Amino acid sequence: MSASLAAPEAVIRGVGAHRPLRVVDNPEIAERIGVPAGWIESHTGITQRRHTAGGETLETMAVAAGTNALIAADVPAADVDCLILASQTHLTQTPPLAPLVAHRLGAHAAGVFDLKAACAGFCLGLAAARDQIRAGTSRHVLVIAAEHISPITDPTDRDTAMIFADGAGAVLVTAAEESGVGPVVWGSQGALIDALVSRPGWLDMIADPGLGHSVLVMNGKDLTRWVLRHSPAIVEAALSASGLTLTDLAAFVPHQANMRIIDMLVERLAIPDTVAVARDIAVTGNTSAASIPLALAALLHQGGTKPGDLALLMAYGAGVTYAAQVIAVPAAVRTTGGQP
Amino acid sequence: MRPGTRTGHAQLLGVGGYRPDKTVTNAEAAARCGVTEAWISSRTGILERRIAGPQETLAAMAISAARAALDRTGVDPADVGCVLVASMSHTRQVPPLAPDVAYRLGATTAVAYDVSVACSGFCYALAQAADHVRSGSTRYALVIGAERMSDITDPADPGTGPLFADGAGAVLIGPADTPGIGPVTWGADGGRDQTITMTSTWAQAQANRAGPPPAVTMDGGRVWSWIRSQVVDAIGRTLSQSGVSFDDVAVFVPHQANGRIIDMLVERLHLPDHVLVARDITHSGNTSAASIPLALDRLYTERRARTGDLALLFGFGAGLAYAGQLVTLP
Repeated sequence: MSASLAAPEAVIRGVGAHRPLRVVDNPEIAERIGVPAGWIESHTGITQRRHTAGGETLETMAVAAGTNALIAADVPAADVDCLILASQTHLTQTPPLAPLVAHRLGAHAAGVFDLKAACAGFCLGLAAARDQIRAGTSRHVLVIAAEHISPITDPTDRDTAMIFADGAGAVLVTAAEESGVGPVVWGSQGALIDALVSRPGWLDMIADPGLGHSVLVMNGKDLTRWVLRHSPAIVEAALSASGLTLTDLAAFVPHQANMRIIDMLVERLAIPDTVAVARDIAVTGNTSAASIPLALAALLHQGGTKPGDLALLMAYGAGVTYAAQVIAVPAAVRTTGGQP
Repeated sequence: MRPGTRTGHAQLLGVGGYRPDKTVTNAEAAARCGVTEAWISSRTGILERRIAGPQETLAAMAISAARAALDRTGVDPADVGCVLVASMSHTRQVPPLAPDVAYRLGATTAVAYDVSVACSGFCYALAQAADHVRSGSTRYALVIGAERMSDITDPADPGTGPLFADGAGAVLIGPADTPGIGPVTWGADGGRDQTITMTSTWAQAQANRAGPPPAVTMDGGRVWSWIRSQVVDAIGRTLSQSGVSFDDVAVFVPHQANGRIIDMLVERLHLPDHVLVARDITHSGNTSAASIPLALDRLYTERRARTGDLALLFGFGAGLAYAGQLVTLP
């Protein structure tokens, strides 16, 4: 059995994003969940979020973000060897979504799979892309993270309705001589499996017409405590795996869970003032797996970084599953839909 | 940025399976969908299948299969760094299945995520896990296929009711000095993604609570012609890109879709007589992502697998998507 002799590294060539058209502002949500105006912003740092409108679906957002990443990277869809679709909101058992998205993009030569790791899905997909490239399996991998969370969110639930939102982001990862995606530091902690779940399960929902819709139920305190306790070790490990320290970073792009958690992370991790911290959550909400590529796209549009700058990505979410890695920031970014 | 150290190669270390206790005969399956026993056996090659009971949850079956694979190797679950679960029948939106499986298995520091691409899910997950090992992201990885297809199958549908079944299979992989898992061949035809689909999405079922529960439905004729052309070609490429022919292959383990499909593949691929063809479908039915590791497991329990044998694994199904690779049997 022969094996590939190539030993390339992985680099992000382009970033794509799609922000849904409908802006949902805080007064609209505040009324639904019964809190005073101003309460949402003071508790979450979110001033608005976006929901799908005008025919936007999980599929159309994924296709738009993927198209944008390909255009930004200037790589033809036909050259994509693998398309990884990270999402927790494809609301059917089969078919998976990745084959249709690949077809719409024209990625006819690609292997395709859906990756399910909740909010950590993008960083795991990026690690999967890096390892495919380093192993010689693929030369071009399109990682798309897309979420249509509003259908599984209870619009009257204080813990989730003000937080979760829709959107899609993508990166095109290619083979290169120099490493642009560092080693991943990752893990899961199944003891906290109940911290974020959808209830009821679909079969229970079907069996009992008296049950309500299946929606996300979150114990934010447990998740936040876990993240704050473990993030210093995760970040230290991700940096040292790439031979770096905090002072080498130009940007920090954590999962956009909640602005207060981002603030606490910045303090707990002693992120230097010189590091740009992604705070896309203010206008985008928490888009689960899509939050990091959306935040990265916003950072690039704002011009806060220059190509080759190093950014630390850190994702965590239901499971609990986490992943962190350092990337070299690309120059190319393209966003469609509502502008940030 | 320092790139990280590669491991080199990956190999299969152990195989395990879990088959539910309850056997459903063709007589029972036939009565449920209004056909005869002979109709089922002649059209599917299936004589019986296993259906999971309430205690045999997806996670429980996945854990049992993974433990069996670990037991054959002596590797401690705590040393597993990565757990990938392939399934199309995890019927809760959040969280994914893998973290619970990893935690209860004792792989408490492993990263765990789900790979969802229906019946080809196991071969996709195996390819990805092999790359995680080769790239140095993990040392040991568990690849598990687990299905409770009975939860999403209408027993009254003759096209799917007698076909789909439950179970779980797993392989442990780890680093190797020589290639033990060959390059993957993968692809999809998403333009035909409705060939195998659900009768309704969960969103539709939620909006229409009086309607029938979502169930797998498929256009068997279109599936057949896709396999006959694209999958057969892809299997040929799997061999050619590794520089081998069927002369070098000892075992063929296709997705256990249907006995007639396996017969067609054997004929179209001009498989030489010496190639052992896995036909676990006869007693296990079509267990989707679990079918390939379960079929491998049977080769071990029947003592027909020989260490060092070259085996061709090939998964195909809903998407429409396929993936496969050559492996050296542990």
